[in-house]
Amino acid sequence: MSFSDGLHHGAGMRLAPRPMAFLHYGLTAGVTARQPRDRLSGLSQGGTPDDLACLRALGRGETSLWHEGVSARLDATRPDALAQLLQGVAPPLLRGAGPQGRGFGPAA
Amino acid sequence: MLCDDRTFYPGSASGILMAHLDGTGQMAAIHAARDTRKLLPPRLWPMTERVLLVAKSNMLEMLNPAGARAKLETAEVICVGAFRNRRALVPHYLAHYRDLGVDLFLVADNLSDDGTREYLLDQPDVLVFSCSSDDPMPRGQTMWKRALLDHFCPGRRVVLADAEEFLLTPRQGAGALRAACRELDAAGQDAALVHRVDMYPLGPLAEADFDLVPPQVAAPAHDRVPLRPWPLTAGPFGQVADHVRALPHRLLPLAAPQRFLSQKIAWSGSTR
Repeated sequence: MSFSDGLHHGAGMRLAPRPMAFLHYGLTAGVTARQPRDRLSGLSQGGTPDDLACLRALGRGETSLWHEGVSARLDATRPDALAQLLQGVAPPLLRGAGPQGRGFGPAA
Repeated sequence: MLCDDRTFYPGSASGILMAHLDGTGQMAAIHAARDTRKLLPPRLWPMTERVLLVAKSNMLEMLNPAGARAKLETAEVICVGAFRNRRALVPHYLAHYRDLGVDLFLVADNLSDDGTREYLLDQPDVLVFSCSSDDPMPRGQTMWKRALLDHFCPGRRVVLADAEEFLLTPRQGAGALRAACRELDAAGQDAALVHRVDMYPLGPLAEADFDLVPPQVAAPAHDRVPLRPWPLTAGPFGQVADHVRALPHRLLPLAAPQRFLSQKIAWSGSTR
């Protein structure tokens, strides 16, 4: 089993046909507060570079990300919560990439 | 020769004669181990990196006391992550994954200074590994997780989740992850893709204070279409259907269209 591009891709593995989801809580008041301090200290920030790029785009923490018509509310305790999030998401493997195919096939 | 933060304690195995310690608490244990032919403290490196006792070598040092590794022998499901300064999230994270059925956490701590490290060390089911030097880039954090995977997790059921990532499994409830692992094992699958969905509060971002409110309550909103297919790339192996995260691309419309990939291989089973 090997990985590439961080953990985004891999080879030598038998991939499950259905993906799962991470509820990602990277954009928080805490990250907003930490950002100037960590930048001054020269250390990396508490958030990932992606999170921090978003926060820089947002400016200060008063901004709301909720947009009517764009946003939705999730009840993570509902049995169909995963289906709600992954609606329309394609299976992980592209068409023609069978279990014996290159990439996600079994390790040699 | 003097021991510093990135070498080993004095002893016959290390050849180090003198060490500077910040306190006396470890003195007796270090003396007792001088002639055991063991290199202490325990350190490990990613299998793909050179073994170097220098900064930026992606070396990890285990911080738990000797014997703590015995927990690895009995753990059925292990969670591996890399944290930096996530003190507010960590209690919720541990509670979430314990409820799903995780027995043991392996955490690479990226020099946290907000109490995250101390909190983790107080937990009975967490093994903490300190990085030798801060690394702001995701590559370092991936390397640390790979190192923990390669050294401790072959043939184990593992979830790769950082502190802000809360896994949503096909079924809900206590032990759901254990059940999902068994199902995937039974089907002969040894990995799963997990898509990252960005969650945010209903109101101003400043209201999402996880010190006061659990993240699932403080940030229950997401983009109605949180993931979008990106058909022009399929990874270096040409097999995976790439998807991107909608929220960062909404916030940064001029970013490269595939910059924020959503998927990662975040679960591996016991059959590999």
